[in-house]
Amino acid sequence: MVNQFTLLDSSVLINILATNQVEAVLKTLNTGAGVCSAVAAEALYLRGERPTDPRTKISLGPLIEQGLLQEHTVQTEQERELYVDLAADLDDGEAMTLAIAYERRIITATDDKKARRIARARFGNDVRLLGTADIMNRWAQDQDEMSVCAVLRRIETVAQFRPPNDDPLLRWWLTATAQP
Amino acid sequence: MDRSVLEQIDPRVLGARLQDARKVAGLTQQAVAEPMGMARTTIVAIEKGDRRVTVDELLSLAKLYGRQVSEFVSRRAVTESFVPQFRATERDILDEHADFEQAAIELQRLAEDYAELERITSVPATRSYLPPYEVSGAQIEQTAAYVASAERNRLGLGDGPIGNLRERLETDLGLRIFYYRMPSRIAGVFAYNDPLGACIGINVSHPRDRRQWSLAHEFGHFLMHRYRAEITVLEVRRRGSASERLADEFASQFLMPASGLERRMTELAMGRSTGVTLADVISLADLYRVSVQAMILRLETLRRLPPGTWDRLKVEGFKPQHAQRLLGIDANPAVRETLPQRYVALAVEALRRGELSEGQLARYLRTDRVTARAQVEEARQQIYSEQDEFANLADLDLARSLDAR
Repeated sequence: MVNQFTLLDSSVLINILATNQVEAVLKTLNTGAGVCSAVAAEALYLRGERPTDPRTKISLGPLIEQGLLQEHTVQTEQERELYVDLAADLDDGEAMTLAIAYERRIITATDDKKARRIARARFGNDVRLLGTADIMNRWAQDQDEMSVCAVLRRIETVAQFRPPNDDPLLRWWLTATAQP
Repeated sequence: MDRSVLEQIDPRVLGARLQDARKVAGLTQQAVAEPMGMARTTIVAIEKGDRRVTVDELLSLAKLYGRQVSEFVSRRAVTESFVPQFRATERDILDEHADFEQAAIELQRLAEDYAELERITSVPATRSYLPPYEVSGAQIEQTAAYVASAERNRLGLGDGPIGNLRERLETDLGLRIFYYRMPSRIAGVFAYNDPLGACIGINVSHPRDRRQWSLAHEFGHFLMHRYRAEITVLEVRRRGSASERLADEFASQFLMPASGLERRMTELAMGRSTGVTLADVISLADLYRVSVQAMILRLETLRRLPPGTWDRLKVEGFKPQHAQRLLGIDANPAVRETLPQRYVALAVEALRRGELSEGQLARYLRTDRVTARAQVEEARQQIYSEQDEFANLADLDLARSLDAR
């Protein structure tokens, strides 16, 4: 059985936080959204819109209190063992996210090349992966071009993210951000 | 079924990592045993590798030490720890200041991270180490002068100021040099072992001139006391040991070679009735990236300033920083690159290949994810711009005659 929430890795969470439209973006997942406790404990920062702006520390507390994000942690012995095993090759947030995702058959959002490679190699189709571009592409369906352009550019600036070259949605992203 | 990582990992390796983390957290074994619901002897056994930890114990210990689980179970290559070396040579100072050991542990971690990046990218370190100089029995000033002159010649530095000492030592010799926060009384640390090579840590919080001096001082230890781990402490009583005085004398002669300074002082004095001024000496110190005090003392030794000049200025209330401000000298710019450029380049390459995750990259770069992303982008742009430069050069006919006829 597939549980109805998507677990966000830090690599995707930062990009969504950069949009300033967290609620609207998360709604497009059509599931609840969650983070594991290791991701919640990670110090996350965003850059300012101008190069001279100081970076800002992000607190997930308000999002969790509002119910926009659920916090999950490793609960069963299998989850804890898998988490420690994965932590030999990944950092804690990435390892815990994949461990929970696999054991609970939850959709996972990560852009990380290594995490995706390990997930595919170890779990095959038992873990379904999404990336930032997938999520933003879904969100963009109900938005006008200028809004999409502004939000994607904001991700590029404050989260320093652009989809990698092998992402099928890279062309869409580049077109969407090429507005005058 | 595959064995779990806790069954695969050498318990002595895991125990040593746990012990380092406990010390960095400033906790005694007893202070750990209580919240863990264990006897102190169990903690001792775990740290010695005599008893394996369970998954739940590891998770609890990581939480207690404020560390990532991945730091303990990572598959990185195992190297001999610097800490026992520091304990062997610096026991008194480490017993007196518990926080000083953290500087040694961080040097170990940075050097191991560097070696791990070399391993996963298959780009081994290149070392150009000559054997250490034999220095026993000789006069300090003469030994320092000999070694400083020989090393300047070997590195092709001439007798002028050294603007890029760190890059020269990293690139030409293969030293691993890191700038990081240490207790303010520590200027630098040096340690060597075969797997990691020569490693130098410099206190990033110190002013530029102090950092330059510390780097030359630690380089002196590499050249003359290589197999002895060393912590440079800014305390008068510590600076009295022969090896410390030799390293300091080496730093002075290496950074301010007599011939170059003599020539500049002669040039400055030429055609002037006033002779060399205080402003000249302050500017000279800035040029050589040494403190005003170090420059004046060196010029006193070279008899280009009267003996006691520095002492007299001090009595008169001379404040170097105030004078530097008046002359528009910024003697304390922040360190732009705390990690070696090559280290950062290897980390970016490992990320590109999918051998490092983004979280791991941020940890290797000692920063947050978004800043790490920016560093990756910066490195990529540098590569592209270099490729562009090469593309332009490819069209250039270097054999073309420039003769106008």
